[in-house]
Amino acid sequence: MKYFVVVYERPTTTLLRIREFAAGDWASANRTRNDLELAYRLRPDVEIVLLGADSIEGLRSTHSRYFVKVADPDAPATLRVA
Amino acid sequence: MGLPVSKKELDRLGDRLRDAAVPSEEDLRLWGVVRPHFLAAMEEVRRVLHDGLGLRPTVREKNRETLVDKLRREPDMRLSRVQDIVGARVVRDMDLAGQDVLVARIVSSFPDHRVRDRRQQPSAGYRAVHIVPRLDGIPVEIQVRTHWQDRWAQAMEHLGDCWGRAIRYGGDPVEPTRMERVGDGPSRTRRDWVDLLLALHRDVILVEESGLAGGPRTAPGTPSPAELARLLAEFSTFSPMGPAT
Repeated sequence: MKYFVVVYERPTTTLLRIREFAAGDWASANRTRNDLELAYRLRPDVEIVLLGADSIEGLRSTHSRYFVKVADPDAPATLRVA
Repeated sequence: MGLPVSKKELDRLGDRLRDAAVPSEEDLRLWGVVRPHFLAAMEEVRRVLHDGLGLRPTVREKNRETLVDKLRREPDMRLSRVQDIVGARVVRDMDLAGQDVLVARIVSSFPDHRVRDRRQQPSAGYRAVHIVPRLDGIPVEIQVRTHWQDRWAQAMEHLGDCWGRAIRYGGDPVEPTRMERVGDGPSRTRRDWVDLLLALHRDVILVEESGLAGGPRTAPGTPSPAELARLLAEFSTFSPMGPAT
């Protein structure tokens, strides 16, 4: 199970950033989510979400709303490091 | 495991988060102390579902804004009673009987649990079976959905992002009379589109109860399963800012 932290702009349904963590490393994902919440604390329209799945494809399947539109569609999703 | 704060302390924290326009640093720190315990419970549930039952769940933590929204939307709700601070989702290509079998397998792995069958009591069209095991008192919500239930739910979740989350709970969209186009459909008001999506949940029920995965229309005047899938996909990919990428 890999963990991911997603930065998602709700009104435009745009995935701004996503960061992937090593399998089982929810503790690092937790720290990064805390840091990003602080960074985006004045942007209530931006969701910082901690998710986990076997792969990013699994996430795309069960949480598709975060992937409808990506800020940089040319970059491989897992490299858009937050 | 368990939580590092009492139920009373947790509820008071929830009240302060609900009431504050901007949460205090002290409350954010306290929430930061509590959250890893929820994550550890979520990871344990994931391990049981994956390693014990051979499922491929995805897991998620409710973000703080959404949690505060819930506390504001339901004034009697206390933080200690929120069941879905963390959760797992299992989506499978199965019929309703298969869903019952899967639910039975999952609950057998968690001695302390509650089941809420939202197929019997849909909430603003939302259907699924929710199982909430408690691990050392920490609830983790497991959503068990068929593909059809999931398609409908994800369409509504996405539209909620575009036009305001209130529609997910039976409320009006933001700017309800604003005209929009979803997919190749005609121009309609947002309220009409939301009503259409709500009506489609009945078609999802018809498809599921008929057991027709990809067959003909289930009843006169209803979309065929293929048409239903197309309509739901159009809602799920609607872009409020132009074409989706």
